[in-house]
Order: sequence, then structure tokens, then C-alpha cells
Amino acid sequence: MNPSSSELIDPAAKSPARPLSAWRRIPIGVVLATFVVAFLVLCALFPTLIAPKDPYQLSLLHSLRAPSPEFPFGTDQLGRDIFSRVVHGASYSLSIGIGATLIAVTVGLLVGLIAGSAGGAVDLAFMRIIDVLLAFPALFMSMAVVALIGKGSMNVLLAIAIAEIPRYARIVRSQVLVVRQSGYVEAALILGQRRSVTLIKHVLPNTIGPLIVLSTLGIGSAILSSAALSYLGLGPKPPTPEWGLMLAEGQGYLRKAWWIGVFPGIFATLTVVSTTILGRYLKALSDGRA
Amino acid sequence: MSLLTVEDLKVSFPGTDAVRGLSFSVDAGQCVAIVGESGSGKSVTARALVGLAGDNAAVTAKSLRLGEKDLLRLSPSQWRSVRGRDVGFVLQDALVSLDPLKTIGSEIAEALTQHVSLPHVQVRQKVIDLLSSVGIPDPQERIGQFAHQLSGGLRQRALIASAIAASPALLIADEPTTALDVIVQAQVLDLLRDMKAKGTGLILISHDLAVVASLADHIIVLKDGVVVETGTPERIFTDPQADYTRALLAAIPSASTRGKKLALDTSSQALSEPSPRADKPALEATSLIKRLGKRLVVDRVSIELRTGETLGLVGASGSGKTTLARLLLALQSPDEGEVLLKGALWSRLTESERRRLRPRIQLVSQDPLGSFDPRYRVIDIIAEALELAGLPKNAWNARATELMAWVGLSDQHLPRRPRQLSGGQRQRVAIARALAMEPEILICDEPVSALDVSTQAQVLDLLDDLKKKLGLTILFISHDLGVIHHVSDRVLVMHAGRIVEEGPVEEVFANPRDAYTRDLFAAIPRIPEASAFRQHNLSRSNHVGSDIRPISA
Repeated sequence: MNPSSSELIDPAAKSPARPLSAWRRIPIGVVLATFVVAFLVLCALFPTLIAPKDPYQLSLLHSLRAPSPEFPFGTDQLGRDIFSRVVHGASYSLSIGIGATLIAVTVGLLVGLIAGSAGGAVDLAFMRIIDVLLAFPALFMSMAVVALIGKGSMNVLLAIAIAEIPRYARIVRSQVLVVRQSGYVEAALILGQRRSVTLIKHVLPNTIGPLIVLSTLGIGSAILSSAALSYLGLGPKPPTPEWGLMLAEGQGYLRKAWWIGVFPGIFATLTVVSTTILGRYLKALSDGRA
Repeated sequence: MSLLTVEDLKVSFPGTDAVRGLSFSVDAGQCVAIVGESGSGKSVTARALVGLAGDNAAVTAKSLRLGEKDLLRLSPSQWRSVRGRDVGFVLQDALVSLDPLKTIGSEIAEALTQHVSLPHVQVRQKVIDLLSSVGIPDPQERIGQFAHQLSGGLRQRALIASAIAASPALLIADEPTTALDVIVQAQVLDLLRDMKAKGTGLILISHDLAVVASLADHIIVLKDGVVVETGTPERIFTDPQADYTRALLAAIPSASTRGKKLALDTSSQALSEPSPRADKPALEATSLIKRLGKRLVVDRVSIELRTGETLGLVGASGSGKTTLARLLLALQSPDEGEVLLKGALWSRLTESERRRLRPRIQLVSQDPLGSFDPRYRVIDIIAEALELAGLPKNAWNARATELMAWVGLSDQHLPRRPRQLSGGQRQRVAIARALAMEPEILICDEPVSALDVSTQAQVLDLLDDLKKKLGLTILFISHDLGVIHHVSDRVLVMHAGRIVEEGPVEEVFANPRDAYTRDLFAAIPRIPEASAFRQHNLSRSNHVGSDIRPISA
């Protein structure tokens, strides 16, 4: 605490209320990403509102149509409307991304809290296991889990979650160690607070804050993993309109009908990029950098 | 011809005016001191003078001239040639300002070769010369060391060496001694005095009037970016015109302020002498030893904290004061020896046995903000303590109001967040939380060292009031001898893990027996008495060019 560091006048600190100009300072990329994510959430919640056509409706009459006003993204080899399928696919990707991240964060939080607050042999044991798990690439881990428990959307979700757990557990543990060293945990000890109460009242909430931000970053990578697993044929079975699966199906037609594979690919990319941009912005906000 | 002429300097940031019209000039061999508290604009001034005020700062002036150069018209690349060659800049924190990946030798060599073309073989010798000129012992050896391997004082010297490497005519030092303890501070001030005597112009920026007293030829007192008062040290110290300057001078705790209020607005009525009650010692430690690796951080320390007294513990940074406090609070356990609370077991208890006794001994730390859960408002902080103190929930509001009143805050502060409070207010909240536990003993570990003098004065007064009102026993830890002298009944001097001196405060200060204590006391910067100025002036009139003509603010 040196007196002159507070003296370098920080204009942001001195003028708290500037709602209008503050809005203007949000980077354009973040605004765009917010719109993309909002649109995807809308797609996931009310797909028929945006794409009224049935994504499963076969029509050999209309097979392999190029994008046109009637079929904005064209049709596939079985005459299904790609636009409709892409819109309906949002719910798979988003629910797998969010669900897997939720599970991974929850379990990671528990493991990290136990390891970080117990310390000693418990900590050592947990962390060595996590080191070993982290040595495998996440996608490889997920494939191994799917190989063990079988294919399907739910299993893909679990597989991705399991592969992500070690990363969150490690972050939580290091955060717990920081918080345990902090002045306010010591202050609680001096006041005569019980360890278990301190853990719940001070350590846990101050650990979760940074974790929530990090998990928004994780959603993007979980969506990417789910698309990858589906592409490899380990995810939901056809004719489910899942982006990774659609990519795999469109692969054989790339030269004849590029739109079958390209549009799901664009959507997957947009989703991952947007959630990552939002996550990074949230992280910058919570670090006080934006 | 002045080295530097500043006329009507204004610096503003979006939404705030940091400096509002500052004028002065510096001649060769002279020192202008800019004194003020946090937020007064003194550091911003220093930065503006070297073109580092920042992108969002608007710097204007009627005139800002360094010799022949008009500083207002410099391009960034021209600034780079001015900084280092014409103006040297020394910052407060040498550990942050020195590159951790470079040896101090290469750091200084870089500053040197930037501005002076020198054959490669001569650079090393020149760096060694610079290091020895700033009083770094064994420069041949130090040249290959990194910043973290040096002590605070040596680091600060290395930084000064790099600032003067290209022999600038003007040196700006922003709080150059604030992070240092008194003995090292005295050495650095001596070094600056030598440079001044050799003809370097000096701008010294400090929050501490006593520090600038011995060095400055001209003092500018800044408050909220406005010049409150300017003048020679003699005028400022003997006949301050502005109320603010008077308050600043009065707020400096020292021997002469003992038993008096420091903050001016509460008048300087004498307070009744404390009367320590004869009883079992409130806290007693017997030959405590704490090791860190092979080093003894606390070396056979025995202390007795008598009920009702204020015991001052003074020592330089690294002397083991904080470790001792942590042992007394049973936050760490000693390797040998034990601590007794009211004659009963304390350090040997298990934490769960100790928990019910914890409220009796509370801590006020140097960093109140760090001791608050960042998510908590003031009310949550107080409420946690009240809950642990066993108060029924329906009594919380009344008790919180009472506690806030005790520490000089009001109900309006309860819903605020600590970050929205000033440093002094945060410390008041920390004190309120400690008092909520109805403690008998308060351990204050550098409670005012992060505060401005006038805030410091208020907090010291508050602690004194509360002590009398509640009959607290206080262990007061500080590196600041003036503060210790002001608050303590008895004093302990700690050096390298040991207690080297112990006794009633007047006795120890009047007649220190230990050699280290004597060095420590000799190094305290003092504001000279009026009579000293007359002599000083006589000797100074022999010097050339000692009168500087400030352009009126």
C-alpha cells in the first residue's frame, strides 16, 4: 500500500455514473457476439418461430437445391431444408455446451475445494490424478469415455464434462489456495469463525466468481468438442440435425452441393467465436481491465 | 537562468482537474519540494514534467521551459532524449521500477548508453563509478546482481544511479524514501544532499514535511491540485500562513505531541495520563523462537503486555515485528516458547479450544481493505463480527450504529462498500469490527502506515479515545518512531528478531542504551526548531545562489 499509487488519478474510478458513454465503450465485437448468442438462444428455445419448416421432412423432389428464397441455405441430398436443420441444431449444441460445462464446473468445484482446503496428502493425491488426466488431450479423453459408455447425445455430454473436470478442478484449487491466504480469511479466524463456516461464507463465493467467467469460455470449447465427436460418428444418430453430424453428412457432397456442409460449419464457428469473445470480455471486466 | 521554469501548469483528466495552476522555478544546486497528501496532484506534476502524464491527460501551461527547451512542444521522440539526459526521474518503488530480468549493471548501462556514446570497454568502469558515487558498497560485485537480490536501500540507490547515469542537470524524485526505513532513508537523503551540493537541481516530492525539511530550499504545499502555500522551509515551519499547512505540521506525531490530540479541529487539550492497572499481564510471551529455514525471525523474545497499557513495538522492516504479532495472535505457532493470555494457556491450545477465547484479542492490520471479504458491504463486515460475538439478531442494528459512532462513522456508511471509502474510513471500519468482539487486547500492526498524516492523526486520536473509554490494552507496532513516541506508555525496540531495548517511552527516547536504538533515533527526520533556522541561514548565506525566486502561484 504505497500512498502515491492511489494518487495517479484514475479517471474511471472518480466518475462512477456514466451510463451512456459507458455503452459506447463496449467493443463492437462484443456487441456483435451478444447478438449472435441471443439469436442462437432464440433458435434453441423457439426453433419453429425462426424456421417453420420441419427439419426431418424428406422430399426427394427438392433434393440438393442451391440456396434460394424458398430454401435460404439450400437442401440436402434427401431434400431436407438445411436452414431449418441448422436452426433446430442450435438446441443440441447449446444444451451440450452448457450442460457439459455445468457438470464439469460443479464437479471441478467440489474436487478443487476439497483438495485446496484439505491440503496435505488429500491435496497431493487429487492433484496427481488431475495431472495424469490433464496429460491426455480433451478430445481423446472424451472419445475414450464414449467408447466406454456408448454413443448418444447424453453420453457425449457426459464425456465432454468428464474431460473438462480436471481443468476446472485445478483452477478452483489454486483459487482456493489464494483465498485461504487472504487477509479476510485470516480476519475470520481472528474473529473466532469456524473453519467450515469460513469455507462456505468466504472461500466458496470468492472462488466461484472467477470460475463463472472462465466457464463461459469453456462453453465454446465444449460445443466444439461435441461437434467433433458427432463428426466422428460418436454423437447423436442420423437424422438428428446436429451440426457436427451434418458436417459429416455434407462432406461427401462438398463439390456438388457445398451448402450442406458449409452452413452448419459457419454456425458452429460463429457460436464458438461468439461465446469465446463474450467470455473473454467478462473476464476482462472482472479483472478490471475493461 | 533557471534550469526549469514552470508557469501556470495545469493537468486535467477527463472529469477531474488534477493540477490547477502551479508555478515555480528550479536553479542549479537547489531543491524545490512539493508536499501534499494523496490526491494532491504532486505525483501527476512530476509525471507531467517528464512527459509521462498519460494519454488521457491534458497538460497545459503558460510556460514550461527546461533551459532553452520548450517542453510543451516536444514530440514523443524528443521527450525520450530529454528524459535521462536532461531530467532524471526517481520513483518510489525501486523493486517495481527496476527490470527484474536485468542485472543492475546492465540496467544502468542501458540508461547510460542511451544518451552518452561511450566505448564499450569504458561502460563497465563508468557504471562502477556511478554505483560507488551513490554509495553502493562493493560495486564490482553488485553490478552483476538482480534487483531482488538487493535490499530496499540499495535498490533505491541503484535506481538513483540509473537516473543520474547521463548526468542530468535536474533530478525529480517522487517519494524516493517512502518505502524505506528511517536509517536507510537518512542515507538516501544524504545522497540527494550531496548531489544538490554538486550542482544538480532537485525536485523532491513527498507527503512528509519532515523528510523535505533538511533538503528543500523552497517548499510548495499542494492540496487538491491547488497551491496552498509556498515559501522557504523557515517560513513554512516557523510561520505557516495557511490553515492546511498548520494542520499538516500539527498532525506529525512526535515527542512534543505526547498526550495531546493530533488532529487540529478537536483542539489540543491535554488528555489525562493513562494509568496502567496492576494485574496479571494481559499477554505474556516467554522466550519465543520462530525459525524460517535456518534464520531466526524471532529470537528468544520475552514480552509482557500489562493490562491497560499501550506497549509500542518499533523496528525496521524485516526486524520480525509482524511475525511476533502473528505469534501473539496465535496465527502461527512458535517453534519454542509459549504465549499466555491472562496467565492461561493460549499458544498451546488447539484451534478449536482457542476459538472461544479469540474474541478477547483482536487485530487492526495495516491493510484493512485486504481484511474485508471483497463481496461484503460495511454492514456485512460488522454483522459477521456481531454474530460471532453472540449478539441476538434483533440487537444488531442498534449495536452497529453504536460501533459506527464510536469510530466516528455514521449509519450512512453501513450500506457502502469498503472500496468506496477512504483509507482512514476503512481503518475505522476495521477498528469497529474488532471492537464488536468486545476485546480486551488490541494488536495494532502498522495501523496508520498506509495513511496520510492528517488521516493518521485522526486514527491515532481515535485509538487513544477508545482505549480510555473501553479500557483496552494495546500492542502498537510501527516502524515510525514519532508515532510510537506519541502513543506508547512503554516501548520495545526490535532488531534482527531480538528485543534490543525495553523501557518507559520517555526513558528509552531520552537515553537509549543500545547502539542500534541510538542509530535509529539519530536517523529520524526532524522539522528544525525556529532557532535552528537562524544558524542555518547564517551558514547558507555563504552559499551562492541560494535565493530562488518563485513565480507567485
